[in-house]
Amino acid sequence: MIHLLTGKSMNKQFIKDNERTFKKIRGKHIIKCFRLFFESDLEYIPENIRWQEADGVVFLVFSNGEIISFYPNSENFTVKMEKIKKEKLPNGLLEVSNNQFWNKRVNSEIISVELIYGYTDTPYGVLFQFANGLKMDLCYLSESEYTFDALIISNGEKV
Amino acid sequence: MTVPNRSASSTAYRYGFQGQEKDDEIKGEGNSLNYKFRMHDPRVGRFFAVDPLFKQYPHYTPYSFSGNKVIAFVEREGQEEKWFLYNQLAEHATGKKQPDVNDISDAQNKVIKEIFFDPAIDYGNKAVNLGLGYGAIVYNGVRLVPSTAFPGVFEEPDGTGYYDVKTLQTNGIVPLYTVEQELKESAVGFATDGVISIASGGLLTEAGPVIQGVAKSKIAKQVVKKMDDVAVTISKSTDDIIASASRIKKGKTRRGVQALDKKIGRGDTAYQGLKANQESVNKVIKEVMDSPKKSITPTRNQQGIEVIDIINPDTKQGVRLIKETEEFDTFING
Repeated sequence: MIHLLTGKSMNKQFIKDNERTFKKIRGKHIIKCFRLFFESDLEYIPENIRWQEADGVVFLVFSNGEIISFYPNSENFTVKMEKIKKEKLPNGLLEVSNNQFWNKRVNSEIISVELIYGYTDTPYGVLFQFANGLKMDLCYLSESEYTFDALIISNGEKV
Repeated sequence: MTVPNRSASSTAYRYGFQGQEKDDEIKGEGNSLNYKFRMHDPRVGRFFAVDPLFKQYPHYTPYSFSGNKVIAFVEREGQEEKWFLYNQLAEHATGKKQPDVNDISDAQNKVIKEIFFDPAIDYGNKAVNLGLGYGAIVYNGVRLVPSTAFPGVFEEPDGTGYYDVKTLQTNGIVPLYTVEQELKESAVGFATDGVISIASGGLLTEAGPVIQGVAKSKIAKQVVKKMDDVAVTISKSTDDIIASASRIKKGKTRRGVQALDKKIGRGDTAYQGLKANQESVNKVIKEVMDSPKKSITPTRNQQGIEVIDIINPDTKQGVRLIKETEEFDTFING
């Protein structure tokens, strides 16, 4: 048997994998958020939005016990999502669950999670919608206001 | 199917669609073709018996024609699809007018072996991440698409891409771990016809007759044109690229230093042990740009900006340039 793979058909697998993960967290809520920052960018980000917009990794702990890391992936212009075990969480994490941005989203039911697409077939971000009407997006941006190449978290309004 | 009363043919010529013998006595002129193992009705494009090889193709309906891929493939005797490009390839490899299935398989293996094994041809073959999640093999700086370069090796059952290590081992080829990982992890392929891209790599005079044979095919010409359309040359010198990496991004931080700092901060193994300073930036850029094995791949980011990824396979370090200005953008992993 010979098959031709296309970007789109193989992306199906990428999307399928994420869909499987998303299915599990729909209807659940985030109970904690941890961040690991890449120090080099921190000083450029205004203090009031530093814990959202500074480049780094995001670890979300969900009410079903799952922990998912969101990691900026320059090579593929995307956000790499991975399930991670509690004991594998890296050292030096900062818990940001209680700051102004996150405390409105933590403990609110997730009503939808979807991938965000740009100019390519590969999604570059994820959009969460919560039962309290708020949104949140985690996007990989090649160029942002502060730096190039970062994972940026915002309130989903620009998506 | 012929339109009634609007077609003419000579009864002396017995062959129709795909060179198969017509059996006009059953359903009228041109309405039944004898594919040796099954009869085919071109009016509905269907066979009238199940595929004798149906056990080998559980993912197809037993009535499928040409594996449901009617452009690139033809039907082989009512049993299975046949990629006509490889038929041409086998013709060149064997010199036979009508190569059989084993010839095709041999020719295919020969291509694989030439690419991976022939010690006389060392093109610095390697596997890289092409960006956009595409897994591929780069052959002398020209990207090869596993699925199309090596049909039968990279297959797609049920829409899922996978890499058949066994097939490579059967052919005596050491699997490239990174390709395997790429395909497993990203599970993304590329739609262009990779094997023929060898032609645009200027290897025709060096490569064996099999590859030359492929390059002569119609598809090859189309793909070569496609490859030429996307071919990338970098006009800026390494010094210019280094200079562009030392431009100030914010405050006092220079672009290259910030990019390197991110790579080190993210824990990327290719950059471990380096210090985020201008000296290291210059060194990495120079090594990447001066590498004789470097691969150059044009791609586009999610914001639509065209970029060029240059990878040094020895160090797994890479440089991304903005295509329009050829200025340094960031460091990437190989």
